[in-house]
Amino acid sequence: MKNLRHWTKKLARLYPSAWRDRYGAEFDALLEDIAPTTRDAFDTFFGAIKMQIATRGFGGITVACSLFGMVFAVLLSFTMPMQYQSLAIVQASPVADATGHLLQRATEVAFTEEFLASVIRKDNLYSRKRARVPLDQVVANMKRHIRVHLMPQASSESSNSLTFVLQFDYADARVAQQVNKQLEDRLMETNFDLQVASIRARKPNSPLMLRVPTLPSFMARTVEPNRIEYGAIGLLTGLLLGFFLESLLRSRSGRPVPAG
Amino acid sequence: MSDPALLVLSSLAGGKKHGYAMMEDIRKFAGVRLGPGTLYGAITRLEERGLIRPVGTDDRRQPYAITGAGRAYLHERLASLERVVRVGSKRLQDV
Repeated sequence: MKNLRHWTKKLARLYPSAWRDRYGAEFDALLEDIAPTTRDAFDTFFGAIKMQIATRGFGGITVACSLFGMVFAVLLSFTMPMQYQSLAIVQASPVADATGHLLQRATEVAFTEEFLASVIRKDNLYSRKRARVPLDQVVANMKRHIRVHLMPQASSESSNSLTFVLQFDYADARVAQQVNKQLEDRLMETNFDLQVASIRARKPNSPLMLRVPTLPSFMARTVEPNRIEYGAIGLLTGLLLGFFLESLLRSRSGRPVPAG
Repeated sequence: MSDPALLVLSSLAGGKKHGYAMMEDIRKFAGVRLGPGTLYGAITRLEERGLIRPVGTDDRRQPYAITGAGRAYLHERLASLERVVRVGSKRLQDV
């Protein structure tokens, strides 16, 4: 109860300063006389918002909520865990328009749901998420964190191969590297099987040749949460919330008390 | 009846009171417990319109008294409510 009185007094500070100057002391005295309930705390909060509206107008609430939402979201982003990107370089040949497509197909064949599920279990990935949702959803989530993309700056017309990056994002740098190595191995093995199958089937198209550069191919980089994105989402959420709050208060304060 | 301003005026019609005393009085005669925000919202508007006035005190608990304009307003509102009550009651009896 003492705690609730404390918080209700804190909420009373949301009243406009001019109002606080005039009524603040007696309002605090009233809060000391009563044993505030949760309902009183909400009543105080809505009373403060109404008084702010009366002095600033309705638009002020939306602006205040939007700004608060943005600041809150940006501050929240600092509590979000870092993501680490593990990047493995893969060189593919021949240099042809279809190479990217062939590599994409190889990844689809390689990274089956069964394979990814086995990696998740073996390396105990996404343990918190796995406690909440079924494994197939965790696999779908992992798929979103695996990407293969061309590195145009590392691939040139004169070279005899195209350079791709196999990327895996995870919250732990060491695990990200460890898993990405398994992904790379799996991709190479699958591509080898596809090559053999292609040669046996005597297909006219030359198979995709993949190789890993002799130099250490793994890199890891830290990716901070996108604070601009967080800020924009917070701003939008605050805007909608402010608009909703204003509409609610407008309907609630529509009663004439007294004579208007 | 849950119009906070009318409840505050009705309470002060019986004599000057501070916030907590008004809250208790209203709870007794109307069975309504006004929250602190609602009570002071009504007090603020009533004072702005000159229907109540603060009474000099050294205490933090500021008492208020109803003004002449407040009495006239309360009389008018109660008369209006009485008409509604009378007509409503009569119609209920007729059914």
